[in-house]
Amino acid sequence: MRLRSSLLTATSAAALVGGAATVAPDPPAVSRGDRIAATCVTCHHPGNAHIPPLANVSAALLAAQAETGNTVMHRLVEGLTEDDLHAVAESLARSHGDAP
Amino acid sequence: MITRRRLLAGAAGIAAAAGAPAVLGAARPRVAVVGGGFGGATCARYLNAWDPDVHVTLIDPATTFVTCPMNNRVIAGQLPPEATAFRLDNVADAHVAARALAVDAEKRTVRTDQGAVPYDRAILSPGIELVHDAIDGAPGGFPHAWRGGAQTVALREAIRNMRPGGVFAIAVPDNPYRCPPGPYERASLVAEYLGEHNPRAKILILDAKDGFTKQALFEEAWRTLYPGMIEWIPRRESGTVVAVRDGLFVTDFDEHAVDVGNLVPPQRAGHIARDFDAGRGWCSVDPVTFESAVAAGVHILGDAIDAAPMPKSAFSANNQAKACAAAVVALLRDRPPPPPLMMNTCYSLAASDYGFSISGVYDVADDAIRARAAGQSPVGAAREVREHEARYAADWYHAITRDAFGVGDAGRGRGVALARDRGDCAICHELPGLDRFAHGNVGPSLVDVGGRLDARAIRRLIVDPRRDNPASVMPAYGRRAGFHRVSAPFRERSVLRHSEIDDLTAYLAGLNGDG
Repeated sequence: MRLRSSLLTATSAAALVGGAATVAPDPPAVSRGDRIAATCVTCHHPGNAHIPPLANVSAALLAAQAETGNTVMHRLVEGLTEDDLHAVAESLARSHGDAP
Repeated sequence: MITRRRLLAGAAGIAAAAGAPAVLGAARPRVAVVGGGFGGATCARYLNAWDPDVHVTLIDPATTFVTCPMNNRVIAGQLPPEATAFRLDNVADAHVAARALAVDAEKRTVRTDQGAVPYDRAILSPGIELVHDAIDGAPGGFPHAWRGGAQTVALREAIRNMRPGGVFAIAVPDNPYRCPPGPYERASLVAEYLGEHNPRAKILILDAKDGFTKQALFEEAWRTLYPGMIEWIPRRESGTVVAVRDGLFVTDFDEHAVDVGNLVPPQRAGHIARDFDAGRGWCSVDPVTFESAVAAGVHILGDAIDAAPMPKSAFSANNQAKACAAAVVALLRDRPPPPPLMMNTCYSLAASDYGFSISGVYDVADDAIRARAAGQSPVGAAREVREHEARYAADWYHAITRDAFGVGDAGRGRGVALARDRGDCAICHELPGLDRFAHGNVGPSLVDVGGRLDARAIRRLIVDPRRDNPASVMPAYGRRAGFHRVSAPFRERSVLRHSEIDDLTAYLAGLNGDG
């Protein structure tokens, strides 16, 4: 822990001295959408023959699964909130239907 | 401008002044992952995807993992064993092929039979240990076939060689155990095999429980597909096997002569996690971080933990691994761990073209994992729905094994290498099959890269070449941050998806200069 706080201090100090603020040593936090998208790819893969790919998935299309799905997906969508659906749809759209 | 080299040099200087080890590598957090199954492999890969600065070491004596899912299809002769084996090359930054002996949570090291591996955080995903103590005379030569590998093939051969009209018996433990529907799927697929090759044979399920998951669905399938072949004897009818002898499964009040016996014994957490099970057999963990309730810095996931209501399944382990990875990358940066959202779907096959499933969605409330939603396939569904779910089961297995083990597709990888909006590798490198004016020469030729570097090294270079060579000018295709003037679609995203990196790795690792 001690080492890492020193590292962070060194980083910010170096950034000040160097006058550059563009190098981000820490990756961004993993968003909720990205974390839900990671659960999708346990079943969905572009090389699959029957489980459909996730490209072009919208929150509305996901929500519709709750009504029309007759195998697995409608059960899973029931466990997601409106916010979850929007977050995961946004994440998948930005990742071409893949994760991470 | 600050180069990474200067940054590291500065960090090392401060570290030395502070009395910490002045090793450059020490600036990168180290995670040791014990166990290369669905939990450990997935966790290692998502740590790398979400924070490539974390150095992940996989500890597993094996270089190949053989899965439990689909091993019932191997036993029934529907799949060759090699279709269930996956190399662990694409899982972690480093692989220590050693047996983990103990975790020293104070000194933060994993002791192995090849030396000690230091860590900042440890992830244990050791699966199960089989406990024969409760059954007199066990295992008595009866295979469990409850892990992938040699016993699976031995059981397949025993069933193939069973005498005409013989009895195949499975002894099933009480809950909890790995893969709750597994014994009933096994009985079903063996029935499919015997129905064709040994139609007068009988199957006996001797159960230490009075009910089981997806019971109505299995019983419907047995009545439809295998009338009169499978007999299930619950605990209340003296189903619990308490002893085994030569050719006999013994229950409280009965003895059953068996031609082929499959003894699935009670189970507990795998050896390395047993120091953290508080004597209960399964480990308790924080449901958000999966950190052990009794050892700081030690995270445990998969079959070894008590994660009820999540079942002990590959899918559960895979989803717990992602939640754990998100928590660990946050904790290593002193950020709050995010709340998990996890799923599970257990497909079962009653025949090669007859599937059904049970699903759940899980989050954390009141400091415990809770099911937000749950459901299973309906009883009485049309046969085409069962056929559909059997195809889904095959797709699920394809997807989860790619997700967990990083199996790449070389053909797709060549597409990633050439596409202008994906890897576009030819802008700097020579690739086979390209006109010499169609590729750049800033970087080395890749026509024989597979002969110079192994898959693990190639993958590391694609994710972030400056980890191994700080002077490299090649872009980092697997990082989510640290770039200049990033356009909106790429913000907080790596240039390539990690599945594309797997495909690209498979393609490049196969280039040996033969054109």
